[in-house]
Amino acid sequence: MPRWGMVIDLDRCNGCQACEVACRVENNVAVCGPEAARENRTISWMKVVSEVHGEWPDVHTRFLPRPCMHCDRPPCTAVCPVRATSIDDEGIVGQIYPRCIGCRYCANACPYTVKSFNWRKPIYPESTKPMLNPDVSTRPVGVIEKCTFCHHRLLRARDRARAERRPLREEDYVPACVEACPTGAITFGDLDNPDHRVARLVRNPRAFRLLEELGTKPKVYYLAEEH
Amino acid sequence: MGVDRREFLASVGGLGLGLGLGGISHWLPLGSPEVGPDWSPGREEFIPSTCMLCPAHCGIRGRVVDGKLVRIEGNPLHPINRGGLCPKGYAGIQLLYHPSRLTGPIERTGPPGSSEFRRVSWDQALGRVAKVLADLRSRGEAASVAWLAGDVSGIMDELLRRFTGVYGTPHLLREDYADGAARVMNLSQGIDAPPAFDLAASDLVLSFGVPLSEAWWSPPQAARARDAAAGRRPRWVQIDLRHSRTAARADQWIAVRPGTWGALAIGIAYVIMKEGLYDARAVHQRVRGIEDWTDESGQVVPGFRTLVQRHGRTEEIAERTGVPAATIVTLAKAFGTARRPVALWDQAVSWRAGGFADALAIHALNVLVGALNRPGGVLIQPALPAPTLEESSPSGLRPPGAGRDDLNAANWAERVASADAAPLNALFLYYANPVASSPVRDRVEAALRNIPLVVSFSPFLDESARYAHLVLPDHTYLERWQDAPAPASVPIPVWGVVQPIVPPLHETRATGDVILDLASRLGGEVGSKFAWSGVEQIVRERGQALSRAHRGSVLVPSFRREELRELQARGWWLPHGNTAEQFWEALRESGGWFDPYYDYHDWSAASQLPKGEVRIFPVEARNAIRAAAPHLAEGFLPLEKDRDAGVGDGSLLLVPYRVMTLASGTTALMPWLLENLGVLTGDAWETWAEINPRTGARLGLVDGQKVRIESGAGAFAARLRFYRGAQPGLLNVPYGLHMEVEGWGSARASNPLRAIGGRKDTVTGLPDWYSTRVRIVPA
Amino acid sequence: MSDLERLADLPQDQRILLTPLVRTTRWFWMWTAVLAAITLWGGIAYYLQLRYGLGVTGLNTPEYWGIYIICFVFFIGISHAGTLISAILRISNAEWRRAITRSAEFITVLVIAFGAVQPILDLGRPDRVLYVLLHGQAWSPLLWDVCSIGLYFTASSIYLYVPMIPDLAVIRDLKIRPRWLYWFLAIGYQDSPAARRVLQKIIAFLAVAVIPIAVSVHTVIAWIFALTLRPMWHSTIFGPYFVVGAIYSGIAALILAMAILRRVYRLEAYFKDIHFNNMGIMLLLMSLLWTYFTFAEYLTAWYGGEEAELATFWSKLAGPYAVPFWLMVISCFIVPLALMCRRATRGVWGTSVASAFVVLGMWLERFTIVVPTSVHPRIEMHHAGYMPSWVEFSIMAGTFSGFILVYMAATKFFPIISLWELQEGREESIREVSERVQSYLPDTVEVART
Ligand SMILES: Nc1nc2c(c(=O)[nH]1)N[C@H]1C(S)=C(S)[C@@H](COP(=O)(O)OP(=O)(O)OC[C@H]3O[C@@H](n4cnc5c(=O)[nH]c(N)nc54)[C@H](O)[C@@H]3O)O[C@H]1N2
Ligand SMILES: Nc1nc2c(c(=O)[nH]1)N[C@H]1C(S)=C(S)[C@@H](COP(=O)(O)OP(=O)(O)OC[C@H]3O[C@@H](n4cnc5c(=O)[nH]c(N)nc54)[C@H](O)[C@@H]3O)O[C@H]1N2
Ligand code: SF4
Ligand code: SF4
Ligand code: SF4
Ligand code: SF4
Ligand code: SF4
Ligand SMILES: [Mo]
Repeated sequence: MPRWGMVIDLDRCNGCQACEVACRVENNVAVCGPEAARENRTISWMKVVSEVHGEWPDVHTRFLPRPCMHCDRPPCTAVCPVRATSIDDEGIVGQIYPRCIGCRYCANACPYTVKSFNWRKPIYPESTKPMLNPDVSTRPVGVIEKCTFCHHRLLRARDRARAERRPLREEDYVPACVEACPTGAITFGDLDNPDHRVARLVRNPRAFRLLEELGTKPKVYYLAEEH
Repeated sequence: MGVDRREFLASVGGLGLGLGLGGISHWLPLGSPEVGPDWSPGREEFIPSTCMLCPAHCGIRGRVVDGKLVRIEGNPLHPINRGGLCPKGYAGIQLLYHPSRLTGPIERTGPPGSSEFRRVSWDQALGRVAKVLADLRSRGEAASVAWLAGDVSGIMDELLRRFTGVYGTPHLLREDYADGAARVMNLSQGIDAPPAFDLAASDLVLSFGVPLSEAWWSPPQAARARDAAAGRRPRWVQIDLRHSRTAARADQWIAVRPGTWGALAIGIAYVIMKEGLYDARAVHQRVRGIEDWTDESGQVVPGFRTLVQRHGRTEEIAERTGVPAATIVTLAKAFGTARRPVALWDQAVSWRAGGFADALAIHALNVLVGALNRPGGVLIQPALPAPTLEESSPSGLRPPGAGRDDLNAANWAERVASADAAPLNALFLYYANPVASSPVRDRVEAALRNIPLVVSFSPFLDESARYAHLVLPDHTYLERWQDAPAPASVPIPVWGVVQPIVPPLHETRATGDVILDLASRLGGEVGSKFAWSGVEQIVRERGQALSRAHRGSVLVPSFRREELRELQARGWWLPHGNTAEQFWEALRESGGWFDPYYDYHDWSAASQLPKGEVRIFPVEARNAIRAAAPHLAEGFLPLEKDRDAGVGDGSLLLVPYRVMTLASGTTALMPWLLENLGVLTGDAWETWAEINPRTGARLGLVDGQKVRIESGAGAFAARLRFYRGAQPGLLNVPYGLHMEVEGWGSARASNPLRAIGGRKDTVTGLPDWYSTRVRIVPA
Repeated sequence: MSDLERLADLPQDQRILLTPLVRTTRWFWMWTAVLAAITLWGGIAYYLQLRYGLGVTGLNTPEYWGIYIICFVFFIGISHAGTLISAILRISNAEWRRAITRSAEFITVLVIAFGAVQPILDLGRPDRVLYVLLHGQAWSPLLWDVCSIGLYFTASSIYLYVPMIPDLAVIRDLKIRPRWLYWFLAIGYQDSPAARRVLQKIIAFLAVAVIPIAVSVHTVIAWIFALTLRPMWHSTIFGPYFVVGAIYSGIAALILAMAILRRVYRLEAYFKDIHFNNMGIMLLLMSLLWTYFTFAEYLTAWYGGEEAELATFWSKLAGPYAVPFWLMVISCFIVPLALMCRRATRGVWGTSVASAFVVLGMWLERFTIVVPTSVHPRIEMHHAGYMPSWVEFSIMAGTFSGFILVYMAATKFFPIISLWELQEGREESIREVSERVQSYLPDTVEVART
């Protein structure tokens, strides 16, 4: 059974936000607008966070692209009263939008603040409906959403592999943000498969995980900057 | 009593049962989540094309499902962006399906500047335009027609030149906002083209304020240059006024005081010369002007060495630039000893009074270390090996000499607005929204009011289109035919094809086709020179012509690029089919054409001057500077202490800059980009102004406050943001949010250029955007 | 003969305590009108929220929980006034309880109901609330909460109802209107020593059973927070801390209710100074306990010095939440301590003022628990903050006024002091107590002869 994971090389990430927008396109993330931005209600499954330290002119910045960590011990799924979020056999933490009651307990339980809530009814102007990705459902008002590791791409890749009577290959399943990153900072694959690049990268001495000490066992790894 | 006890037990039991069932319900075979009724697996295809949202012209691929474009992704075959895109590229789909797109030609019924328009047919609209054009031409007033064009290149550029030329007007005004680097190349090497920088092969990139990761001419070129997958990792040093995104992830970032780029370059040159770290062979062979010489009048002209020794002493430069002396020395040594160093500059340097001298000083570093025409250095993009329109079918007509009043993109508004100048009778706006993007909006508005026929080709009712009498909406780049050459910063020719990814959604028409149509309506001499059926035919013919170049190739996967380079070095090429038609099909399916081979032995690419010489800090340049800006020492260095102070009496220096999420104008209509506009400060949907927290506190301001920022020239509103990466005393303001149309989540934007005004550098005529002093007034 | 006239001949207790059931003053109607208007306003606000989603609140990312959850914790806390206090007093045979248990138990039952709707007000999809039963996921503390609150509500209702049956029978027999209601509620009870014995037994059982349930309720609520990994939520003492806080606020609420009832229904003879004094002592005790817990909690956060904890810690002590925090300290510690430590200020006024502060302070305590942690996620965000919207304030006002309204209505239908328990007190307790006291005293011992 694969255990999907991601490695983000912070040394290469220059905070361009291509991953953010590519994720929005791929996952039909609704436009929340200026009001929402001022109220901190923008929905971002992938969010590039900048951490600026120091005082002029000794200022240092690190960009931290932050999808859902797909924790192996996800604190978010345990607290959901209706099992609208759960972790599957391959370690992907998913959401069931039609079941979510919108209590936001999972959002509070997530130490990484990666869950977005639909505070208002998402608006898709009529003319923009044709561009919705047919592989991903849109979300109604009042439910939680977050990065799914582009799970629909896994399903498609698996179908294709099956149709072509071959095993699933590393390059078959690539989430949208990984595909988009112009600096190649993001790598994706099966952490348990020694042939996959991620399995090698997580043994890099630069590798770390966010808030590792909490014991949530995230499957998103970061490679620290080299300088 | 018993009743109660039973009730009690029953309810406890019921609750327990309910919860128990609930607890295991996920094991029960419950219905799967709802799937929309309109869901279908769909027929999927991927169509290559080129992104036209900024000059980088990245290769894209549209994922089309059942005829609808549902995703834009990078074209992995494209040699520059290699499958990656910037955020704007992905969001482009929101432009295509934008609810506020114009659905067909419209005619203004309200006063200028209003949004009252009514639909007209293409025939009516074009008839009206053609009639005006024909009348003017027959009255001998063809020269009173002007075209204002923004970012145009390739075939559209040629078409516009040809149309204006054949029609008989010299007024093709190009609002291309060039960075003036071509002039530097011209004076030092006799080459009339902007430099290309071979970032990918360089081992030390020294960027003087070039926002390589944010804007520049080709952000993907810069991003891919550090692609560690390719086993490269050039060292990047970013010199900047602010802790920009580029600075944040450079290997080293050096904060510098405003207006001291040239000084720093001189300081570096001083160390390099003193330590003898320059490429002595190259300098000796080619470079003129290092040592002092005597001119015709018998005067001794100080050479570069003298100037540098006089003005570049490390301690002085350290004091002027704010860069510690040790840093200057280390940097100079690194640059002098690197194998393939290159120094870069662009608008950040040249769009400022005195910027030309700074640019020359920076380029002198390239000259010193022999970075010209060598891998990793300064190259010149070879021309596309296919005939231009003029070459393949000469129009025979020379455009008449200088037009009346010498109109250009910079002065037309001023001239036309003031009643005394000769009036324009018609103005065509192509890819230009001067009302919003010009620093002198009032002048532009007044000018537009003065012109009897203003035609805009914008797909949106933008600020300038609201002044137009007619709007003839163009297709978006996702619906039309065009070509897209790589920007000059790329060292190899890349020719991207732009082809319809989806059929046009509305009754719009590609402006190129409209020009052809207008020409045939004008008929006679004009019509006969535009005998193409459409832009598609021109693009196809050019693609087919490339098959005869016997160079380069249609786009190929990365592993074949090296192979191709090797082949070409031996005089071979990849044919791609037997006929021109087959070649064209292969080209179209790959997304374009490119030629990875660069002939480093051909010195004529580096210098067109007699004997292939290179002039370091050429005397013509010095004379030009001295004539226009006598305050610069030896026509060379800004030395007065108060020159850094900028224009005006405000306490802060305004630094406008671009964010990655916004290219000129239209990108502000894509809400996805506005949702997280500025990654460094977390601002979205509005214009903000970054100030150093200490400066802010000293001025009694608070983070997040709404303010007005004023200068003598004008004012704009912004939200104040305390940012540690802002240099004390400077105010950084992102621009690019200037365009707005009603409809979909309008940004709360303002234009910082309003405070800058139309000031120009007197030497180059380039905009002077970086020397405005402003003050902050709480709103 | 009107109901009122019929009461005139009754013994003092019945006359005074049943009067509110038959006579309604103008003032009462005025208050009803005002409170009903506020409640209606809250209802309209909620309608807007239903219609437009939680966007009409001030909630945001990462401030996922706000006023509703604060009120939830607050109301459920208040509910500890009744059942728990009355059960403890009953078990410990505190004789002064007789006048106050009923009013306390009413607070509990009504306030739980109002507390329990708060999380539903907070749901993004209230239409799916029943999924909690349908798809319940037993690991979720929220589900535990549903259980314990459900249980607590049921138990408290029974615990309120059973001891009221003899009084209901009396009212039924007095033919007070609405007769059908009392006929129905009295379920054919006929007073007799045997019936009383059964009744006493059930009450004794319920009193014991209800205590662990009450403790569990607030413990589980505390766990909702404590079982997440959030700074200053993730704390083992949260369970007991919440329980103590709950009892504290419950006592305060009860004191306020008693003071008001005493004034409005002229019950000076029943809610005597001694009652307030005793309650005041309990308030004092709880104030000290609460302060002790608070201190322990904050010391741990500060001394550990973990970055994430400190961010939250300082935002409360010296940051944007300093005002509510220090107001809380004043209200829950300084004022009650100052007033309750002296006998002179432990009268009706003193305890009422102290209680008003405590109630306010405990609301603020919940605010300072929920909000500062929420806006300080472990991964810092740009510009996080929380300002509740008018909708939230309106709904909060609506629930508060709704609660008071229903409580007022309850006093109009049910004797707010237990008739039969008072009677029992008069008839038997004096003897019982003297016997009990007797039993505490040393026995007379025969002097051993050597
Ligand atoms: N993302 C993005 N990319 C783009 C575009 C875009 O809009 N967005 N537009 C494209 C176009 S049309 C163009 S023209 C190019 C332009 O691209 P750039 O030349 O790259 O121009 P800016 O992005 O404006 O960069 C201005 C920089 O100038 C610095 N600055 C430099 N020198 C001085 C000085 O002496 N004084 C002061 N006060 N400030 C200085 C500022 O710090 C700022 O970083 O980019 C192209 N690419
Ligand atoms: N505030 C502000 N001012 C600026 C700049 C800035 O970033 N911010 N940048 C400066 C620079 S570097 C430049 S180059 C100029 C650019 O200034 P302009 O040349 O005026 O370009 P934009 O403002 O981008 O406006 C381009 C117009 O083209 C229209 N357009 C979009 N797509 C198409 C199309 O496919 N076909 C046709 N026919 N029209 C289309 C849009 O509706 C838009 O109105 O502005 C300069 N001024
Ligand atoms: S990152 Fe947050 S949402 Fe994602 S699995 Fe971990 S706890 Fe859950
Ligand atoms: S918000 Fe939805 S997914 Fe999250 S805990 Fe509540 S019901 Fe579960
Ligand atoms: S993996 Fe997919 S869903 Fe997750 S951030 Fe990347 S693009 Fe978005
Ligand atoms: S796309 Fe890549 S480089 Fe850009 S922000 Fe995302 S991870 Fe960083
Ligand atoms: S860099 Fe320019 S051309 Fe490339 S994707 Fe971005 S906007 Fe398009
Ligand atoms: Mo530009």
